[in-house]
Amino acid sequence: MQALATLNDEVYFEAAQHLALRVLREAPDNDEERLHHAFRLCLSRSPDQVEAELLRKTLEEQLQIYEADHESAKTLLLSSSPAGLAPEQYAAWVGVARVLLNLDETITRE
Amino acid sequence: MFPVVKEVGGYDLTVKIEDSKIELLKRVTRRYFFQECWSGAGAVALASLLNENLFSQAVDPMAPKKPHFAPKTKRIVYLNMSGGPSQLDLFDYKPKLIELHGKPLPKSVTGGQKLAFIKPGAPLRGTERKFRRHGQCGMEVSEILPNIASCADDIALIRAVTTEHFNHAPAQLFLDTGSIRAGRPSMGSWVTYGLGSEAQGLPGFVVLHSHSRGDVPGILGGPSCWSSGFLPTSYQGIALRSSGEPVLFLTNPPGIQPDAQRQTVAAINRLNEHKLEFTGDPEISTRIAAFETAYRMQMVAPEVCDISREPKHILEMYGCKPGQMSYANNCLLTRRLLEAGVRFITVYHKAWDHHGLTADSDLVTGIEQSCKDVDQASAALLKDLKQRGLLEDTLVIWGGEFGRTPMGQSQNLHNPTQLMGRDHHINAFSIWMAGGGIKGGQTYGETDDFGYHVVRDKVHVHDLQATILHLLGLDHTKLTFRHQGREFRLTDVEGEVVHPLLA
Repeated sequence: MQALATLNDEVYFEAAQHLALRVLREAPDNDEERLHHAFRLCLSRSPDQVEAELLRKTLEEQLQIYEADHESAKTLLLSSSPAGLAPEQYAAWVGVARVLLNLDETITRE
Repeated sequence: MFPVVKEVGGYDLTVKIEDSKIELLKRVTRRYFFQECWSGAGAVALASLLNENLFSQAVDPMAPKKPHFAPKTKRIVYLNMSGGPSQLDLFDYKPKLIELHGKPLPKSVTGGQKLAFIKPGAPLRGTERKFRRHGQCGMEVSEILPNIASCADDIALIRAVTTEHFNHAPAQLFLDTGSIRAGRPSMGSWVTYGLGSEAQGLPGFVVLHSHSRGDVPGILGGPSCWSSGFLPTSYQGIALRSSGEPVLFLTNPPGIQPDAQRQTVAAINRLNEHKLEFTGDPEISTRIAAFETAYRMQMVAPEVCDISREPKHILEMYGCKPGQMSYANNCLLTRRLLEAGVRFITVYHKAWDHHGLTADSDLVTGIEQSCKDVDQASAALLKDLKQRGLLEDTLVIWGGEFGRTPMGQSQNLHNPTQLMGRDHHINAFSIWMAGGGIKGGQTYGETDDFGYHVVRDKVHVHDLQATILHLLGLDHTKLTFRHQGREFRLTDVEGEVVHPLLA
């Protein structure tokens, strides 16, 4: 099933890890602009108000997960993780990247 | 959920060449069309003309639906013997062919018919197999299917099946989808569309594959045979692998725990749902459902698909080989899937194209191996379903896309009177059915002395399909879908229910 592939295939997962790194490297040093940049990279447009709020919520949820589970956070990281960022923060961004790469609008080619 | 004009919020108005190109491209996409360009009731009407199912997105596509009338069966297992099993060596005994072995058929019989590869004047082939009568009904079955033969009193054997296509791919498509043109929904998809699914965390329509030694994997009709065609993709058949992970990518990536996965899927679908509200595109609905199913499958499938959990005597009853690809494994897996609520399962076993060119593909050695591979497990499935009280509302069908000719192919060079194989035959072949609503212990339909033509009670592929749908409580003429301006159905424009087969 395509849904399982985009969620769990190594190739897509690596893409999410790299997308997270790219966003953290390229965007200004605050969550709102990082989320905006990540969204634009995946969907070629800016998020509307509802979407921006949902993204914020997603980041918060993912952060909570990895603050409670340091072991998993460490497993998610690529060797070249950005300096100055705690593992759980980076892991949360991988989570957000994964969500964005799995959106219907990202996946569907028109 | 009307597509409405909204302020085009969120679009960056800074004019860059890349951005304006993107904007231009967007204007020709389907989504943008729905989303931005229309307003009012007229727009809605036009949008629904373009997409008849526009307003169906609120409904879960797999929600159980009532059949047209009271069903006799709830579940279907199609044991699809891909390649064309030789009915004259398995189910339809013709002593006349033994008498006339090596001689050609009279021209009056073949009547200038176009055949697959063989010539009409080719020598006839008598079977070397002994046939015996079985059960109280005295059904005549070949010695190389002893276990299936022992189920005679539960089986309705149809010797008069006909099809119209003598090559594998078109004939398989015809059997599975009702048409030789790829792009039509398969039987399993029609059934799931008509009845929904009660399988939590598993697809409603599952496909399994195996093959005998000497055959290469992959049925020639290909994935079109279990495709949803023009029906929504939720009704697609899902092929499970017989060894290793039942479905690829069922396991989370390292570092992703189950609750993290759940949150991720929820976050994805929240954003998808917002988009759905905005555009009204029902394909998003399908996508949302697919992600939910994927997540639930991760939770449920590993356990259901693990046949090693079965007690030893059950594994032995089927003749399973856990960890390997095998028909027996697939039959046992089928029973587990049925118990978990899967409604339609096709088990393809590719093994029957016995033209006689090699030992693995002839009617002397090859067919014996094919029979060994399926005989025990097919009977075990019937017996297992029966002892669990499932057979009475599960319909089991066994057969392929066509049969094989009374004429022989591939002369044995060391023994010139021996013909090692048979060609494809469309005018008459055999299929059996058992369980859900079928009257067992009967043979239906008859062929001529040569096994060439049907002489009584013909059952065309469309009639078979109509009957299967009927047993599920579906009127094959009423289970339709509007596409490209007309109503389509599995049986196209033909098909009669074969009532004498029913209990």
